[in-house]
Amino acid sequence: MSWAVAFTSCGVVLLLAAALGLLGIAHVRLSGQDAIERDGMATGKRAPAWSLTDSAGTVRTSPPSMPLQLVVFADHSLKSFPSVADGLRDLLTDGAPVEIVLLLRQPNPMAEPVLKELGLGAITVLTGSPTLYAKYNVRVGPFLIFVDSHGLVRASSLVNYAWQVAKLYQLATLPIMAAAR
Amino acid sequence: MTAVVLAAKASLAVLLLAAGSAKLADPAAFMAAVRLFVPPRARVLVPAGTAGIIAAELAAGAASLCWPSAAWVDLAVLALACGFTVVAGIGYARYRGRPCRCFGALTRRSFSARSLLQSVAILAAAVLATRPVGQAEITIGLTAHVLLLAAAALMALAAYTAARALAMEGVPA
Repeated sequence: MSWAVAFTSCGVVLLLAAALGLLGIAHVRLSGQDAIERDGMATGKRAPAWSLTDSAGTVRTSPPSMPLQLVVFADHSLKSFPSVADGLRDLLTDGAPVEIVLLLRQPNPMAEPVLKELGLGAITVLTGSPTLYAKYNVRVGPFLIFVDSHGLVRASSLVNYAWQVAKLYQLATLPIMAAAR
Repeated sequence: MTAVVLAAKASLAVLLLAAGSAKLADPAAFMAAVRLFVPPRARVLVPAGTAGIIAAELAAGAASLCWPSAAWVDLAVLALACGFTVVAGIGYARYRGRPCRCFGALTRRSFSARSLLQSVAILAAAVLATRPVGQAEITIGLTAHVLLLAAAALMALAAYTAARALAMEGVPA
């Protein structure tokens, strides 16, 4: 075998190995805790605008007509997070001026019955898409993003407990309350 | 010895292509690192300088793969390696701990003794790559050129995509 053939073969193998290695490094780092912590959107950034129809045929939009909209990124697996469900129920029962919508990544017929079972039947279920999830920079749930009527993100976080839902709502309302004074 | 010289050439080519593509994915961050080495009066030249460095890395990497017997390519790679070592030395002396962005968002590397040593190792490999090997032995044909360029383009795309994703996610580099 001549050196030219050896150089070409080894060069191609080295390049392909480097390509796979670089993609692997990126994959590992993007799946790490550091990256997940940066999911969602920064406060003050413009949230994606959309218009989706719920199961009753009503068109829901973002930015919302109400002062605040809480977009819940989850599906029927929300039942595995009873404390988050408690937090959302508290928001509903407190009569907070916030429109709560559960945005699905893909069609999921189990989502609405599960929400009703959890006492969250007042939450609107909308079918989004992986692209819409990507626009919100959300990969894992349950994730909450508060959006105001101007389409700006007020608060955004992955949540596991009711107190996190309450704290996030508190943070989301702070600028609105300050502006109202 | 021929095998060692060719291995050095191929490794340097892959390194340059990966570095150039990763910088291309986040030029603003690399520009910030370049600005450290440019006097305030000449800052207007930073964007052109940044583009020049990226283009030089990509061109030298591709040429090194396609023309392994060309002495001018080896000299160009050696000149780049000398530049990297000087920058790593100045960075170590004056900007220790600041991100060097040598591989864009792909690495967490900053100016340090380690990065200086790595630059010296690259320089040593570049010196080794300038050793002459029989031209007839490593003159590669058109098919091999196409194959190497296609693999190089694939690797450059992978480096660009990975660096871009990491830069957009804001994962600490």
